Amino acid sequence: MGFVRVHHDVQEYEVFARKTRLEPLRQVGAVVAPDDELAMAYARATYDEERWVEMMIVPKAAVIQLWAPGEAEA
Amino acid sequence: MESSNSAAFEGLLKRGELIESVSEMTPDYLRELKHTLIVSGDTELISAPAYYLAARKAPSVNAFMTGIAIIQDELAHAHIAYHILEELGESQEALIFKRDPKAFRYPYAFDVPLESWTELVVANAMYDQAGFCLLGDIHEQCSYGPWKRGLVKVMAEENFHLRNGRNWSKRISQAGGAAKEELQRAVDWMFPLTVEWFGLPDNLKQHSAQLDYRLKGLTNDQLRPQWLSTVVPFMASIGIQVPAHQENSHYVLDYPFPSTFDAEAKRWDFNDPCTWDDVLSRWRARGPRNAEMVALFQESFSKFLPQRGREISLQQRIWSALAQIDDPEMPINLVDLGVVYGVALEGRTVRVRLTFTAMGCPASDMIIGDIRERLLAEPGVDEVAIDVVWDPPWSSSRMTVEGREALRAWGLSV
Repeated sequence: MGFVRVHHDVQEYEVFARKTRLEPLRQVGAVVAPDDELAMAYARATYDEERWVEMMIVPKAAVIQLWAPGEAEA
Repeated sequence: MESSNSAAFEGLLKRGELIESVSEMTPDYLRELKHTLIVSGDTELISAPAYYLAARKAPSVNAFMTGIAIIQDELAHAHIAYHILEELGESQEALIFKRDPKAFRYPYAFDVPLESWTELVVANAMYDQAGFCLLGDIHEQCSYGPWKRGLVKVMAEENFHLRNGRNWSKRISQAGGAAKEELQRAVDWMFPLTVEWFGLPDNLKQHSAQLDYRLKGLTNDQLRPQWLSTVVPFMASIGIQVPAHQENSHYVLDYPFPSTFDAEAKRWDFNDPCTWDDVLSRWRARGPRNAEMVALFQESFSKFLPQRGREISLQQRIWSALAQIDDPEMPINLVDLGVVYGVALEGRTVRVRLTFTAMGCPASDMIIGDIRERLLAEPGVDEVAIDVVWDPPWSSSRMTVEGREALRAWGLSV
């Protein structure tokens, strides 16, 4: 889904992180930014609630959904 | 199709499952969810300028940095709510930067300025405690998955704000003398304002769809005592008076609720009880600093716009031109109606991606004609190409808040 910003074309990025090496990555939120660099800065500043051992962002457009909640049960 | 969808939705809700996407929701649920998110996002957002004005009075650099860290948290919390709204079809920029200050939906308390470090830490100890009660309830009960998960971060950080408020209140009280007197004065006006935060008593309140939809789990009359049961004993433990006391297992206010508040003097008149209608009209009129608080973030945005150079200005002019074109049948412009999906510039050609509210819409030719005529009048535009698209299909959730208000004022229920 495209989001409206006055100045730029923007895209949405999913933010993934984990606190320890033992736990799996989980989605901690999302940011909307015009480019990867700014998206990284936004992710770092917005999701700073933990001392993460790992953090990564993925453009939402790159995520391929196989099925959504509800579809597998149907 | 509508009824099978809504039966499936009722089933999910009854089984205590989480709702994950707009396609699973009924329009009523979507509307209540958005309303609840707007109140939450607005409250987090407005706390940033309110706290900032007071943080500048911090007694040390360390204290100032704690204040700034709290403000940064509040902005991130606002982002969580507004981004979810964005995923539900609202424009984040329009919500934050283009709404009238009076249209923001946050507790009245934030319209009364925090003017000292002492008032800021009392806000951390009492306002953030109120936020903790309200958001904790949503975090536990909320039926919308993305929000429930987003609140994990929020709850952890609100706890830190609360600790900051309590540690500093204790420290100031122990200092005694004029410092303690200032603390007592802050609690005197802020305590009853935070009690009001929880809204009308249940018996005066209209039936709450938020409870039916499990957007929250507790009523006003359940949340208010929860707050009292943490704040009253804490204040007693640091030797600060509050107008409430414990009776058996519950807490009782020592003043008529509601009472009259003089916002300019920051003074309650407990000898002058008032009605809830009086309180509602005070809330509706907003408090002394409403416009100033909202201007703190809206003004810098509007100053930022002209600095961005020419390459974006045509794009901007096209959007404002489209916002001047009304739907032929209703008093709402095309942008607020949410039928413009995109604008692209190819040299001097403008390409507009457009949908209609329904296939075979009788006004569609008229709308296309209006767009072409209006955009050709814009300097720099020689050609207008309009691509009519049906995917994703339009739904009322694509309307902006302003659009919806315009239609409501016109008498349409949206």
